Amino acid sequence: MVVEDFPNFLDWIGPALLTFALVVGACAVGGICLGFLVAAIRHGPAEAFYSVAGVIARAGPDFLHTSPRRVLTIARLALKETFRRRVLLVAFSIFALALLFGGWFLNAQGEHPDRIYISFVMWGTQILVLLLAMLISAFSLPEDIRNHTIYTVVTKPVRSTEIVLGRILGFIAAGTLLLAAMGVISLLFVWRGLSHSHTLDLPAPVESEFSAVDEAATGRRPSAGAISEAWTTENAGHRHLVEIIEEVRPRSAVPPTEFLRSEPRGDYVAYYRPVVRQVGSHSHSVRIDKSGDEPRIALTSDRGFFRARVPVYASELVFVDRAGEVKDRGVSVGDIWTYRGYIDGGVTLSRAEFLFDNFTAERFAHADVIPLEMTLAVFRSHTGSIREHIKASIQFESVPDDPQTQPKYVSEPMEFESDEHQVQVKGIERALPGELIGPDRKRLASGYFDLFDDFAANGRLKLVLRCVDQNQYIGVAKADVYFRAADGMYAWNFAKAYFGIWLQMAIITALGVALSTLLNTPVVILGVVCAIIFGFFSGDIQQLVAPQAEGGGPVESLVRLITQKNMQEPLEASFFSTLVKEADKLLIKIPEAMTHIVPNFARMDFSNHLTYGYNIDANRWLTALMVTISFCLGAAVLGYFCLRTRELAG
Amino acid sequence: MNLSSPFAKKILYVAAIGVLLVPLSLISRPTTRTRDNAVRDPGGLLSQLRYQHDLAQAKLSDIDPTSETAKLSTLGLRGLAVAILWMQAIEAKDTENYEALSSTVHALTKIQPNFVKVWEYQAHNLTYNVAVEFDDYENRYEWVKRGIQFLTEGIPLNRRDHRIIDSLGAFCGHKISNSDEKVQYRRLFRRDEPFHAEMGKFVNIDNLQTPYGPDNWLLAYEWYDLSETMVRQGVPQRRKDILFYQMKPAQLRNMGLSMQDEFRPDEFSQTNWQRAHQLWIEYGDRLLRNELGTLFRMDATDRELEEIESLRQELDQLAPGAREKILTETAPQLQLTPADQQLLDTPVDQLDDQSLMQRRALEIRLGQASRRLNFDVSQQAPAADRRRAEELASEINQRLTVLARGDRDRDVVQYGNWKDQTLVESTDEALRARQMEYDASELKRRSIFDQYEMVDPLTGERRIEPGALETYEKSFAVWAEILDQHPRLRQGPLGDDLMDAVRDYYGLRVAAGKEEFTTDMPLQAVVDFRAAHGESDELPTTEAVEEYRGDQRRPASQRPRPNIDFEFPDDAPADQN
Repeated sequence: MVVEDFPNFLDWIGPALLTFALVVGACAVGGICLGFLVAAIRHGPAEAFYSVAGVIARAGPDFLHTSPRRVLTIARLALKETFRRRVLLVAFSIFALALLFGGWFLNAQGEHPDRIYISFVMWGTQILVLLLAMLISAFSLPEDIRNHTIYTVVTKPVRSTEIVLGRILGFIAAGTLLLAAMGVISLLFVWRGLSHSHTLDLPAPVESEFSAVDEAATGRRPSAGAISEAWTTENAGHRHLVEIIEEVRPRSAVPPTEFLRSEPRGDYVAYYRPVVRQVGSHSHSVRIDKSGDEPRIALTSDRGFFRARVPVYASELVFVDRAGEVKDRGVSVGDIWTYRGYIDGGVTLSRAEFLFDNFTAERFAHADVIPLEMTLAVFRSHTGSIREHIKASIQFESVPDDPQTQPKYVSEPMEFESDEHQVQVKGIERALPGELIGPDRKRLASGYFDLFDDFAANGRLKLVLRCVDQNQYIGVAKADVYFRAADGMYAWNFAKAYFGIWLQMAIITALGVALSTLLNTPVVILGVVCAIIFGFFSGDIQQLVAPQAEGGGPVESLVRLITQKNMQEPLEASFFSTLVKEADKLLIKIPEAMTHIVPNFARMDFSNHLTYGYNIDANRWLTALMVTISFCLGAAVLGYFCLRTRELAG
Repeated sequence: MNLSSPFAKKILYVAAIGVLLVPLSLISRPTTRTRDNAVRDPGGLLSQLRYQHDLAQAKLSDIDPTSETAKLSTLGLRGLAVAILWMQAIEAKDTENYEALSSTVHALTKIQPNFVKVWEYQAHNLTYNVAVEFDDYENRYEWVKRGIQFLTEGIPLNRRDHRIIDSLGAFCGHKISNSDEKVQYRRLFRRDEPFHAEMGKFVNIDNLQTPYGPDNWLLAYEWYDLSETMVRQGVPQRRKDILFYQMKPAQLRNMGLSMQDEFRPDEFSQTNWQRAHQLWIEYGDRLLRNELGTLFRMDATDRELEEIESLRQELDQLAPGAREKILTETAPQLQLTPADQQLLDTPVDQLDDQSLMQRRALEIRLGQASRRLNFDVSQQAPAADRRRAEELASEINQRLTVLARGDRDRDVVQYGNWKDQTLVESTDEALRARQMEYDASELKRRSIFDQYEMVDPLTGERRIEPGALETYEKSFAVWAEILDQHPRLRQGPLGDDLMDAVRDYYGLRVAAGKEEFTTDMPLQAVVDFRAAHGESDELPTTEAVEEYRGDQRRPASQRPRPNIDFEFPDDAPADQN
C-alpha cells in the first residue's frame, strides 16, 4: 500500500493548536474589519462602530449561554425535517439499488477482488452521503427563510448560535443514520461478494489423484519441496494450485498440525502436507479427513480478505549508494512515479536502511516469531534468469547510543527471492545468528542473539535491505517494509473507514449550514461543490498553480492558446508578457488560498487502508477528527455572524 | 377547461410527449432474430442506420444493459466521463495500481463500447505493458491472458469490425510465443484448460490440438480464420490484402518454427509444414490489391513475365525491326557502359552511399528508357496498326509497373523465401536433418561431444552412438544438399537458423578440445556465400580458417599478436593482492 504521510498525533497537535489560535485571531480581526466596512457603507462609520460593537457584545453572551438542551431540540427538529423530506430514504434506496446491480459493473475477476468491492462501496457511499449532506444543508435555512417558517423558531427564546449548531448537529445526525445503514449493508455486500470456497478438481480429493510436479510440462515453477500438485475448481473467477509439500523435520521436532502421511528417515521424519497457493491476498486452509482408507483433502472458506494488519513502520529510511554515500533517495530507474527508490545489486555498498524506534517486545505481545512484511519492486537491467526471481537480503543491526564506544550486533544476512507486487511475509525468529562487533570493527562474540534484548536493547533497530543479483535493482519505499504487530478487527477497521466519510460529511454539512445563513440555495450548492472540489483535489490544484508549472497560469495559457505557442517555449520578454505573468501570480493566489481554507479531504479518506487490509491507526483518525472539529466550529461561528446580519432574531 | 391554464398546459405537454414517443419507438426498434439467426424484424430506420454506420448495437441480443446504463447515467456528459477515466487509467498505470487500471479500462469500455481503438489500445496496455511490470513469469502470463480476455469482451459489441479479432490473433500468437518467456508461456498455455474453454466460446478449440497439447499458434490461426470469415461475410476489411491474407499461413509457419526448438521433429511437424506450404501457395495464388489499388498475385512473377514477353512480341510484330533499330541508333541511353554494368552486378550491400545513389539513378534511367522504348516502338508501327501498338505499349508498361511494385510487396512478407522454406521443411530430408539437429542439441545438453557406447538395458547389446559433434556434422551435410537445391534459402531465416547451429557446433569443438575451426564443416560454402553477400554471422570464411590454421601451425612467438591497445605503464603499481 502506498503511504506517503506518517502522522503522529502528539507531535502534530501542539503546532496545530498554535496555528489554529493564530488563524482564529486573524479571522476575528479580519471579520471585525470586514463587518465594520460593510456597516460603514450601509450606516456610516459612527453607526458602524456601535453596530459592530453591539454584535461583538452580544456574541459573547450568545456563545456562553448556548443551551445544549435547546441545541438538541433544534437538532431534533432538523432531523425530523430531513425525515419528512424523505431524502434519506431516496439516498438509501439508490445505494441499495447500486449494490443490488453492482455486480454488473464490478469486474472482480482479478487477483484482488477485495480491492474492487471495497473501492466500489466506499466510493458509492462517499458520493451519496456527501451529496445528501450538501442538499439537506443547502435547502433547509433558505427554504425556512423564504417560507417565513424561520419566524416560528426565532420568535422563541433561542439564540442564533443554537439555531446554527442545532441545524449542523441535526443534519449530521441524519447523515450518520444514513451512513450507518450504508456501512452495515456495505459490509454484508463485501462479505457476501468475497466469500467463496473451492473443492479439488479431481475424481476424488486424495493424494493419489494428484499429478507429479513436472515443470517442463506445466511451465509452473513448483514451490520448494513440492512433489505433486492439483487444481481446485474455479470459483469467484479464479482457482488455486494445491501442492503436496515434503517437509523434513527432526524426529524430536513438533510435527505440522495437518499432514497426510509421514515417513521416518533416520533421525528425521518427512511429513507430506497439502498447501494451497495464494491468489492475490487470499488463500484457503486445508482440512484432512483421515477416517477413510486414504486421507481426504478439503479446503476451508477463504482467508486473507478481511484483515486489518497493524504495521510497525520504520521512523526513517535512508539509501546508501554503491560508493557508500548516504542519500535521501534511491537510484532512479526512469519511472514517472518516484514513490520508490531503487538499490542496485551485486558486489556494491548499495543498500536501504530502515531505522525502527521504540521497537520493543511488548508491541509484539512477546511473540517468538515476528512477522516482517515487505512489498518490493524489481527492475531488471538485463533479462537474467526468467525462472528465478531477483534475490534480496535483509540483515539486522543494533543502533548503539554511542557508536564510538559501544559494540553493535549484526545478524547474518538472510537471503530470499523477491516477489514483486505481492506482500511477502517472513517470520523473523527472536533468536538471530550474528556477531557482536566492537567499535574497532573487531568481532567480540558470535552466536545467537535476541532481537529485542540484544539487537534492540535501547528500543532502536536497523534493518538493512540489499539486492543480491548483479546489475539488478530492488525498489523500496518507507511503507514497504514493516513488522506486523497484530491483526486488528476487520469490522472495526471498516467502521473507522466509514468514520472518514463521516468526517467529510460533517464538514460539508457545517459549511452548507454556515453558507445557507447568508446565501440562497443555488449559491450555497455552488459554494459547497467548490469546497468539495478544492478539498478532494487540493494536491492537484497546488501542483497546477505552482510557480514552475509549465505553460504558466490562466492568462498566460490563454495567450499561448491564441498565439499557438507550446508550453515549453518561454514567452518573449516584453511589457505585455510581464503583465501577463504578474496577472497570473495574482490569479493563482485565489485557488491556492482556497486549498488552504478547505480541509484536505484526502487526509480523511481511509479507504486505501481498508482496501489493502491495513489498520487505520489512531494517529490518523484523531488528526482528521481534530481538523474536522476545528472546521465545524469555525463554520458554526461564521454561520452565527451571518445569521445575525439577516436581522431575523433579536 | 381553459387551455391556457398551467394544468392544461402540463396535460398537453405530456400528451405531446406521449404522441412523439410512438414514432420514436417505431424508428428505434432494434433488429430481432429467430433462434436460427434469421431476421424476424429488421428494426426501425434509426436502428438500421446505426447498424450501417456501426454507431451502436442495433440488435436486441447485442445490447449490453450495463453499458447502456452507464452511458445513460452520464447524462450526456459521456465525453467528460471518458476523459476522466482515461486520466485515471494513465494515473493507475503510472502508480503501478494495475487492479485499478484493469477496473478503469473495463469501465471505459462500458461507455465507449463501439470504439475499437479503445479496446485495442487498452488490451495492448494490459497484455504488453502491464505484464512486463511483473517479475514473476506466471504473473506476467496472467496479465497477458487478462488483456486477451478483455479484448474478447469487445467482440459481441463490435461485430462489424475484424480488428479486435486480428489483435486477438496477434496477442495469442506473437505475445505468447515471441516473448523472452516464450518457453514458459507456451508450456503454461498448453495446460491452461480454463483459458482454452474460455476461448472455446469464440473458436473451435478442437482445432488447437497437437500431440503435445493445444498450441497457441493454432489459436492465433483460428482468430485470423474468423477474421477472414467476417470479411467474407461482408464486414469491411480494414487491413491491406498483403498483410491480411498472410496471417493464416504465417501462424502455421510460426508454429513449425517454435515446435522444432521444443520437441524432436516428427510426422506431425512435417504435416504441419506441408499444411503451411499449402496455405502459402493458396496465398500466393490469391488476387491481392496493393496500395495503389492494382490487383496482383504473389506467386505470378513467371506467369506475368511470360505474358509481358508475349505482348512485347506482338508489339514487335506490328513494328518489325523497330526495337533493334531504336536500341542501336536512337536510344544510346540504354547502352550500358562497363562501369554501369559493374554497378548493376555488384550486390547492394557492398556499395558505398555514393555508388548506391549512382545505381538508383541508373535504374530510374533504365526504367524510364525501357518504358519510352515500348512507346517509341509503337510509333514505328504502320498507321493502320498504330492504335493497337500504342495499346500494347501502354499495357506492357502498366504490367511492368505492377510487377515492380509486386516485387516490393513480396519482399515485405518474404513470400518467396517462406514458400521455399515451408516446402523444404516438409520434405523427409529436412525432417531427418532437423531430427539430427535436435539430437545434437540434446547430446550437447548432456555434454556428450564424441562417440559413446550405449548398452541396451533389455538385450545387453552394446553399440557405438555418435556424439553431438558428429550428429551436427551429419545434419549439416543434409542441409548442405538441401541448400544446393534451394540456393535462395541460404540468405533467409533458414540460413540464419543454420548459422546459429554452426556457432553452437564450433563452441562444442572448443569444449571437446578440438581445433575450433575447420573448413571440412559441411556448411562452410554457405558461410562463405553469406559472408560474400554481406551477412555478419561472425563465422570464419574458408580463407579466414586457412589463415587461422596457418597461424596455429607457426611457433607461438611468430603468431600475430592480438590487437590490444592498452599497455601497462612501466611505473604501474604492483598488484596489491
